Amino acid sequence: MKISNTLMRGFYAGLIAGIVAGISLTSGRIIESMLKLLSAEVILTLDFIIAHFGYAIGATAIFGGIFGAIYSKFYHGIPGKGVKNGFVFGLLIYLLSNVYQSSRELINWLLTWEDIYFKWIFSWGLALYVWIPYGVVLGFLYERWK
Amino acid sequence: MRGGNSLKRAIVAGFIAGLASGIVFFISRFNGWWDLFSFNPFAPPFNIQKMASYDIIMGITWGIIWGILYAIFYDFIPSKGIGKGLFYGLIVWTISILRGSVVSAAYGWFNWAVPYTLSGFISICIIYGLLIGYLYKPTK
Repeated sequence: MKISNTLMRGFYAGLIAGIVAGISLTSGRIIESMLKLLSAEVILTLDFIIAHFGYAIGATAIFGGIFGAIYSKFYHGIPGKGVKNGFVFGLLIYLLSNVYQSSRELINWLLTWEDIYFKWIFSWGLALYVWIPYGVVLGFLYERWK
Repeated sequence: MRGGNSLKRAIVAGFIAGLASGIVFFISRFNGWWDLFSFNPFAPPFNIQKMASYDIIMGITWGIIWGILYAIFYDFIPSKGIGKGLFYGLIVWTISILRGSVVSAAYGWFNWAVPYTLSGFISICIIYGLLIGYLYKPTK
């Protein structure tokens, strides 16, 4: 399959990469809860898993598509080619999205010493397992659909 | 990124734009929409000084980081001058604020996520974007 419009290619590649990232996000949250990590959200229930799957896949796919369209604009400014290029873009999204939110919780925690903020520093910060698969799949599909 | 003093210029422009963005975010907390959606079970027990420090520290720190990225991707951002800055502000707001708000809303923090998104739009998309577009000029 070939998509000549770079914006649409980025959007569709991002949409699929977002679905993969959404599955990875939910799987990661389940593993965090099973291992009782500090970043774990809640006690693991079937309802939580189903709801989280719905939200994570839906929201991450939509944002994945939007970020994919942005990727198509910055493609030539990111180092590397194909999968490596996508991987670097995934790390950039992680920095701007999750590290940003994590730093917000860090300052909240430093100002209030509330435990909930300490937990959220890790909850946002550990989510590298979302954006690495996203970037890799995005880079791969974007290159393949050229 | 272009050579010369581009990095230094980006850091200075990012610092100023980030400071202004932090101040505007802080002021926007008193415009009424945070009260409109005020039900929040974990309302942070901030006083005004702490709230101001929080918004300004976040504004400056991330203003510099966004400024460096602006300089790196300058040639790939559509439009020119202030328009380029506004476009960049929209991208940063989408990635940093909007996505975070959707995640928070999905976890039941809707009342916090809505005003946070609106304040973020004004302070980052508009104020930061305008200033970075106006202040940052790459070396030729």
